[in-house]
Amino acid sequence: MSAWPMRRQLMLAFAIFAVVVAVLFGMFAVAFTYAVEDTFFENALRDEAAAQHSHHAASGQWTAPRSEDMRVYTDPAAFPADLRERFLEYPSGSEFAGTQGRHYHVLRLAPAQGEAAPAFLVAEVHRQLVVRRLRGEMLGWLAWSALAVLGLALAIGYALARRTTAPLAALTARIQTMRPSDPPQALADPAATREVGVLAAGLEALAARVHALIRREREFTRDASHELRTPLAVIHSACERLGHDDSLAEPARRQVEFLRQSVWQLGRTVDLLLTLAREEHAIAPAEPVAVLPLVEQVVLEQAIALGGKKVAIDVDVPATTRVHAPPLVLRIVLSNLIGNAFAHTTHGGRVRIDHDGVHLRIANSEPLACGPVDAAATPFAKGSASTGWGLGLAIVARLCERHAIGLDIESTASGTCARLAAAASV
Amino acid sequence: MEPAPLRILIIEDNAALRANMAAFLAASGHVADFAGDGASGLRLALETRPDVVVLDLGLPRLDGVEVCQRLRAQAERHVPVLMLTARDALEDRLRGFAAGADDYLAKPFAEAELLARCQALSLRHRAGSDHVLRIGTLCVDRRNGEATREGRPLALHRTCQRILVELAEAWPRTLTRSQLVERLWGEDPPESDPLRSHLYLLRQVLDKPFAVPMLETVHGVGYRLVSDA
Repeated sequence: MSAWPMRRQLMLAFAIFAVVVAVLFGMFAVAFTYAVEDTFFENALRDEAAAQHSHHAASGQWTAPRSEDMRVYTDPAAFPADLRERFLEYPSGSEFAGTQGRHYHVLRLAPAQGEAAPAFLVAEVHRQLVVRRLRGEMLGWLAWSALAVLGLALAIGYALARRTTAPLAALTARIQTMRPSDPPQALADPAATREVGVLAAGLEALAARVHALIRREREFTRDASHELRTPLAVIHSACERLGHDDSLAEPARRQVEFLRQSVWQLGRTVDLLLTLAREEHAIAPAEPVAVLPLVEQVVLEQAIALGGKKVAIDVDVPATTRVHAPPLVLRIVLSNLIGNAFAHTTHGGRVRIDHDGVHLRIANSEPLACGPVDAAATPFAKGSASTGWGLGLAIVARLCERHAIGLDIESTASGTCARLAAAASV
Repeated sequence: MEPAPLRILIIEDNAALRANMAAFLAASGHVADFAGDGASGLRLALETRPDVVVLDLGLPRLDGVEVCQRLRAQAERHVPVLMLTARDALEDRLRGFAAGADDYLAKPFAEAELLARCQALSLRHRAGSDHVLRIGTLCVDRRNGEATREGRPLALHRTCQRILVELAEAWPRTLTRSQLVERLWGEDPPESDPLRSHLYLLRQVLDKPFAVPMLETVHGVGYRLVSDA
């Protein structure tokens, strides 16, 4: 895309065209003037040659030309020195520039065959060179004319460009002030050209569609949030009530715990899906985030996923570590990875969260049971201890991809390690 | 700060959730009033003077934001409001805070967290009136950091006193290590692990001479006080 506005580009095009035309026509004018002058000299020489031929035919002698600027030479060796030099270099020529401003036209006089040697009629014409004297003045006029034409071209170009681009510039100004959250405004201008009108109408329709999409997204996420979280809250609360009921038999208590874990998992999935769906998160700006305080907060929040299991938690992240990422997105990603590690670590296991200078690593002592490592980020692949539906890591991977946060998950027989790579913040 | 029973007003339109919260709060020794819509919730909030109002955002008859605004305009004193909502968009949260909410909790929530937030809000509200924080047999004077347990003075140096005040003010919530470091030393903490030695000394004085420890490490990343009563 050119950095120059269209108005300036149009004016430049007009200016270049005007200059090229002026220079071309100036050159034609000068060439034509010289050609006319040369024709005048050639005609004079031809007239004199005819007279000389007549005289030679009658007397067998060449005579003195009628014009004092012409002379007849029977031998080029008798030419004036400056002409002789040039003539010997180019014997077939008819026009030669001499020294000290002199200028020669030469015409061969050819008497009837065998009667005499050819002679040369030479005209030294510098006193008749009108163009030479007028050349400076003429070029001055041509230059002024060219400037006038250039000015006229710029004025016409400006007026035309203004007329052509004004509706486009107005449309551009209106588009620059538009925000996706604002209600769509009328973009079409009755005074605009047909093309700009069509463009404005298209953009207006597009803006209305984007606005409607954003409104629908907000309504959908708000409704989805309310309609999903409220029953989840009821189920979660009921599970907690049942969990405190001493009369509950052990098998039933285990089922309640499964339910509670599932509700917790579902809550996280709702968080993730809503985060992916919301436009405010899609454009969330990255900023420096201190990693350790966030990790500690997330560990406390996600401890519910441990469900009473004894799991050793080891956090080894330098207090000075900062990364450049959208804070809320990073929090949600960490919540899912740490929550997963807690949920999938069995009683007596270990979860370690550390930073190796490049990656934030969340490792636990359980291998993923979903087969190949890449499957962890594949929808519906899930570990044996998972109470979710196997969507979590795939959504986390998409969220990371959208915000340029590197994520890879490595699973071996000794455990699983998720590695996050966000740009370091200096 | 004995965990005194709180009078909590729950304004929530979901009957099942109301019933579960009633059972939970009763089991925790607190007194709860309930309203199923915004208008009756506002009336109860103005009449019964609860310690904390737990307010759902989406309510019939009068929206939660409107209830909060009217409560702020009409109540003679500041009633702490905890917004409890299924809407968690930034826009909704900002609307809630703009209307005068003190805290925000998204559904689904853990009952323990709901109660901890209610207690914290209640304490914050009472903060100006009582300089001595009481947790079980522990008393901490927030003005000078002096503390007693079971009536016996605790000989703590200045940093341990500050840690104890921070934990007591946060009670029953957990403070992470980073939060404690930030509150004690701000943006310029000491080079090495600054909390380790101070917490060791605090435990020597606060817990070791007594039967029940009160300073608890939470999942290796935070600390909280637990009542010995």
